[in-house]
Amino acid sequence: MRLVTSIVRWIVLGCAVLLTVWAFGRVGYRELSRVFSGGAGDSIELVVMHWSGGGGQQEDQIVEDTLSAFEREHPGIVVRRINPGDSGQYFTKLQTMMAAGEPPDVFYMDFERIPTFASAGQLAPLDEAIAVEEYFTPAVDAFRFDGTRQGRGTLYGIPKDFTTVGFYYNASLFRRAGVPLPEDDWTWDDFITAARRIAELGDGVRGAEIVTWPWIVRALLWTEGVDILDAEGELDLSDPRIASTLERLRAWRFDEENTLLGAEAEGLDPSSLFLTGRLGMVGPFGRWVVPSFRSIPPVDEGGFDWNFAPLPRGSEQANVIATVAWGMSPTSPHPEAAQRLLAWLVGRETQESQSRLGLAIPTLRSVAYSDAFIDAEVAPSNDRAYLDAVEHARVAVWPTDPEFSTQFGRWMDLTLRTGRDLDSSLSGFGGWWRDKQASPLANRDFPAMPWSIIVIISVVLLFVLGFFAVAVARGGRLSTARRAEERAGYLLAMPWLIGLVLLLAGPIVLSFLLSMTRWNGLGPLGTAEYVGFANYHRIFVEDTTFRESLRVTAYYVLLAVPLGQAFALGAALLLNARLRGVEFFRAAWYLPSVLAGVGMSVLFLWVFKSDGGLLNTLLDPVLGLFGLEPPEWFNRDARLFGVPAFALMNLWLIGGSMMIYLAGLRNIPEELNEAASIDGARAWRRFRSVTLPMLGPIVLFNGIMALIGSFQVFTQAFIMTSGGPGDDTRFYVLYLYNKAFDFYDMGYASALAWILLVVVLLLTGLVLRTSGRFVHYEGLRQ
Amino acid sequence: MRSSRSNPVWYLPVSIGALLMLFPIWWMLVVSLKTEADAKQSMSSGEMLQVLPGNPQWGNYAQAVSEVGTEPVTGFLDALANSIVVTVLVVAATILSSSLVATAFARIRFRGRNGFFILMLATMMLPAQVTMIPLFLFFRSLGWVDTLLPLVVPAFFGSAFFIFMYRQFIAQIPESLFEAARIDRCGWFEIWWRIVLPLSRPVTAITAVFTFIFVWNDFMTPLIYLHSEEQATIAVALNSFRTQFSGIEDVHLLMALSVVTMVPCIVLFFAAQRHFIEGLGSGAVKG
Amino acid sequence: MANVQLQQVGKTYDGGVRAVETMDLSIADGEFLVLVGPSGCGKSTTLRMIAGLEEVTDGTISIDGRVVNDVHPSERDIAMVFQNYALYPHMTVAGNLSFGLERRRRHPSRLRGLFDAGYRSARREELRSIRERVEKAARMLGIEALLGRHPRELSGGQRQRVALGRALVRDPKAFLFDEPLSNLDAKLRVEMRTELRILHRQLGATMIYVTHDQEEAMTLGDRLVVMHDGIVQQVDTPDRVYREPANRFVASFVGTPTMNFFEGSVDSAARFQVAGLSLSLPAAHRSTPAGPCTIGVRPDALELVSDSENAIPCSIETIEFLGDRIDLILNSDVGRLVCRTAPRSGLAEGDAVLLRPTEAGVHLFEPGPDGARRSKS
Repeated sequence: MRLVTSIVRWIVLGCAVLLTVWAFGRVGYRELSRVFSGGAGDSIELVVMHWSGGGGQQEDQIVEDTLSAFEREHPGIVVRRINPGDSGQYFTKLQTMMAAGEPPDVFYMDFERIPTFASAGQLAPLDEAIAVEEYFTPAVDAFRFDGTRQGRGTLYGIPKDFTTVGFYYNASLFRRAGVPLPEDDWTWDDFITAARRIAELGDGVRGAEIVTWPWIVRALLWTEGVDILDAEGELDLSDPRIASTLERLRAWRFDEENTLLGAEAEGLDPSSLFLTGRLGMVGPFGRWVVPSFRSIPPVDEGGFDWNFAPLPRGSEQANVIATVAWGMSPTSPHPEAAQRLLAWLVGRETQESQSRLGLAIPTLRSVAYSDAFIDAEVAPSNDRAYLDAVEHARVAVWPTDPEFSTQFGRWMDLTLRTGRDLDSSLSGFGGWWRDKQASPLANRDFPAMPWSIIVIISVVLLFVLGFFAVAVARGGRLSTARRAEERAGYLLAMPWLIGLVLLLAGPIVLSFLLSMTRWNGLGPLGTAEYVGFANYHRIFVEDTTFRESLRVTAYYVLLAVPLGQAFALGAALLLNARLRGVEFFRAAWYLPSVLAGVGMSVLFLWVFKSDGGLLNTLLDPVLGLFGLEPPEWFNRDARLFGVPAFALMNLWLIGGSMMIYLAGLRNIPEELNEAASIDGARAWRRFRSVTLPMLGPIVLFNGIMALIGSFQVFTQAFIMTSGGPGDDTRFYVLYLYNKAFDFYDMGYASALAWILLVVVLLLTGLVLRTSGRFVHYEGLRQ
Repeated sequence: MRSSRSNPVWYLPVSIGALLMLFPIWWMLVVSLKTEADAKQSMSSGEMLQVLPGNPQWGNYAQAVSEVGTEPVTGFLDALANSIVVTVLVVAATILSSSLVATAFARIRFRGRNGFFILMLATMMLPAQVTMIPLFLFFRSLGWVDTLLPLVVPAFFGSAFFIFMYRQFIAQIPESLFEAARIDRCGWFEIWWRIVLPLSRPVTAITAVFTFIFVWNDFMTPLIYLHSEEQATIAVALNSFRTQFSGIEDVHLLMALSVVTMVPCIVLFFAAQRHFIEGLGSGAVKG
Repeated sequence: MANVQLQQVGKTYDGGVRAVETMDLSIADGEFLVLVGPSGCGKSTTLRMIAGLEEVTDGTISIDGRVVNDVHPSERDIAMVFQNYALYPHMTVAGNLSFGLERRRRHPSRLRGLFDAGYRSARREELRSIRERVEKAARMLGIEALLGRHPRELSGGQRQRVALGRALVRDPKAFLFDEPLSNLDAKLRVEMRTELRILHRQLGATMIYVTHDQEEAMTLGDRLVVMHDGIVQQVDTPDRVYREPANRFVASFVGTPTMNFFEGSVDSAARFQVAGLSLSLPAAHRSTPAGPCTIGVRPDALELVSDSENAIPCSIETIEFLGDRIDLILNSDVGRLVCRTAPRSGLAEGDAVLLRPTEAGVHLFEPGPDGARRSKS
């Protein structure tokens, strides 16, 4: 047996070494070839960047093929393609490249971000680049910006494809329920009737799923003839039809069983639920789901018939256009070549092949009306409906502040995904926007941040400090031996000392300086504006999300830290026994904590899924005995149960703390407990009077570490809930990240960071003060 | 506190706990081995408490691995290689720099030592986010964004937590050993290399294991700095995979890939467990 | 081998603690000098100053005429044996022994040198001589068989020998010992003591030894330096320290069991009055001035007598049997007394007996715990 273990260990070790060597080789080769591949020769190199979201592999392949075709047609031009993955990663990388002054030549741009990027001067005007009339006007206009409003002015992007939206329906289910199939001008009444009738089929069948993304919500409002923005683009929530439409939606979802599903909250892709054949209708979606839906087998192979119906009408017929464009950098070193590439990418050939994929609708009118797109043989057969909808379709233009749509989405989520009161959501959103508008941050122009002065001051300060340090070092009456020792000491401690200045002190100071700026991080540091303490003012006085995130984080801290530590200590006490198999149990309890990270978050996403997740499946029968239902952790009941879900997850990870407690328990001399035992103390008393006091410093240490750690919860929230629904799980650090990298507000995020620092320091100081003994100086040479 | 309860009573809570701890992982394994149809089925209708995989689809793993990124398989290999390189470098750098600095704090007398030590303890309380943005800007100005450098280089400057651990440990090494070395004409650098490092194997083991696990699973830092597929670490690649394969029909693939990312940590865990138990076997100290 | 001179040497620590009061000490070439005293008396500090592990606050220390105050310990050509051996745990015994030598070799490995034949042969020669010295030292201490082992596999006594060997191998000007035997059990300690003495004789080396065990000091040293509270009490041969202690402290420190002390006063009739007893002083002390003083009598200088002339009446509290002699613990009006005498029968606890000091066994001290000895006239 021992031989076997030994062999196994050697094999594992060998594999690890081989893997490491291979990994270094691979990475080394890659980096070296990057360094050495400077000159591309005399060919022009263009950089193209895109993402592949809904299209996945296929979209990626199409772009690849298109670019290869371009290269063939234009020898002398080499195209380098970058695909960072999903759109989230994409924009972060784009932002970075722009700030570094090396943006791609041609790249995807979505219409919501046109104002931000155009104002930052990162998009080249494209009016001259193509013949605009040949394209669908609403799609093109989405990419116009006149400096204040979207929809008109200079053209900054050329739409590569677009889609209108509607519902995809399961024709087989419709027939089974005896409901007539939807017409192109069907109404919401038709919709809900169909959903109800289909839901009555029972057997796990649901009527429909409506997604409630911000721009979809606006489309829903448009079908009732109303919008949240008025003609000038200002927020106006006064029209009662807004409330009634949304309330109706809320009621459908929460007051009726089975009619509507709530799958989206789970991070689950609702379109894929449609594929199970148990959903009557799904949407409103655009064309992008078609490639995936085309994998549905026909009826005689166990699948079902499906088709597309445009957005139902309310008092009006309305639709919304979603579109992505190709943009161009104004600083491209090869503008004509880039423009040619751009034209190619939105040209006829490309649009035809993309259209055959079924992913989206070509923006070139001629291609759209050809059979490249319209093909009744292939599902969905109702292709024309997409095009016809263009007539009453608009692009959902948002105010230039990128946070508007996200906040709107969050507030709507509160009602539409968790069932909370609509009026409070609407007024909350309205209030938030009013406050933001009224805040000085939104309006005034601020002076540029005086970086040069700051740099000069810092350099002077550093010199002064340096002189001071040198003087202190020179002075003092030290013997040569002591001096030599001191030099050695500083030399050895040098790595940390340098790190202190470079990676800690410097950044902290810079962070503070940044917290007094308004800066979007897109341009170089020089574009930062000095705003004094306006960021802090806004945080404390107006920012409701800030307060929410504090609440969420505090809730978590109060739950997770005591619970976690008590659990860890209890586990350590249990596992301190010297019984057979204790080794195995210790390993079992400790193992999960090494798995923390993305993998674990993915796992727990499925554990906490409301409908069919591991936990709820286990809880359902138990709670059912009491007539209760398991909570919808990250959906309807997220406000109350969202954070506890994370705290529960944290319990799974206490292995590390447990080990430290175990070590501490080992260090308690056995005699103490024995003496107490002889003195008649029972187990609990012994614990309280001997064990706990002896563990004091360790409890404190672990507690503080846990406290600090709990303020930094990020990965789980990012992956599992993205902070939602609403802000129910918006941990502080997640909010910070959002502000910095999603909303391009680096100054504000820095202010948030500083507040975090102060809070943590205060709390830690408080904890330390109230417990006195912590730092031991034993062993220090006097 | 040596438990003097009788066996069966003790085994009960301990086993339940172990079960709770291990079951999610086991479940993940089970799902990862189902066919697409079965996985879909079990997720939506809740009949997923199958304890044993009936029809193990090992091919799921191959498929998941090949679907990472845009190029088949290379996406995964890149992520794997990147993770390995970063982790190994950071572990080595942390051990070397932390033990070096700790030697100075523990055994060398220099003015300001106590002050710096307290300062270092204070920095342990610092949330990483305070320096996150400026560091990002700093590395950006160096052109290091979208490379592995920002993940690796900071480790060479010591880590307060491990400096503290090393320092506590080194402080326990008898002074006379150092004095003997000084008399034997060892410079401090040599003392660190030839005496402190070999003696502090237990701390080194702990440092290596903790650092490995932390870096391998680290998500936020790579998220901020790495954008291209080529540079992604496993954590980031898994997240991208998740966004692409979030449907219920892909859950088996998602679980399979998650298991793959967890394997090194599990292996390390089993290997290192013994090492923790090995005590200080030195005979240099009295008794 | 060399002599070591301490001139006006004193040590004050950073906090203001005066560890060693100004002292002068001259250690002859080849001498075995023992610094002895209770804990905290400054003996270790003094040793460490000689070694260079502590800084000298006042005065100078010279080795072979060379002032070494600012000289690095490794440059002083001394070797030190520590209380807890300080063996490098990850090296073998051979490694431990050769470590110091390797550090001093004049031809450390250098890449350049690898290609130079002359350099290579010089290196080989050096390594060979190192090996020889290691083996010689190992043989001298009887540890050749242990050369391949690691310290953790050795017993306490073996480790101590290795520590000794490490010092031996360096062939230093002086050997410094910091309580090397304190960690050994009693029997081993006695054995090692003998070995050390033999070693000293064999090598003829200068050895400076620190211990708190006065018996060890007495058996090992050519001369003793008795220290107390940082002050040197007496520097003398063991014999004279025992028979002519410089003050009450030295008298009480040296010798087992401890000397008996009577605090009283001398009257005008040269009689010593204490606790109602009146004892006549021996002839040698007749002319001592009147007034308070302390008498010290060693246990082996008290005799059991039958007549009460100049005798102290006591009652036996307990009897300790030591094989070839017995210790009587007695109670008397002057306090508790210890008497060491040849074994005899007929004594039992509770018996009343009479004790009288011998003529030669009476020491007079000035009153007070450090009272200086009054010399005989």
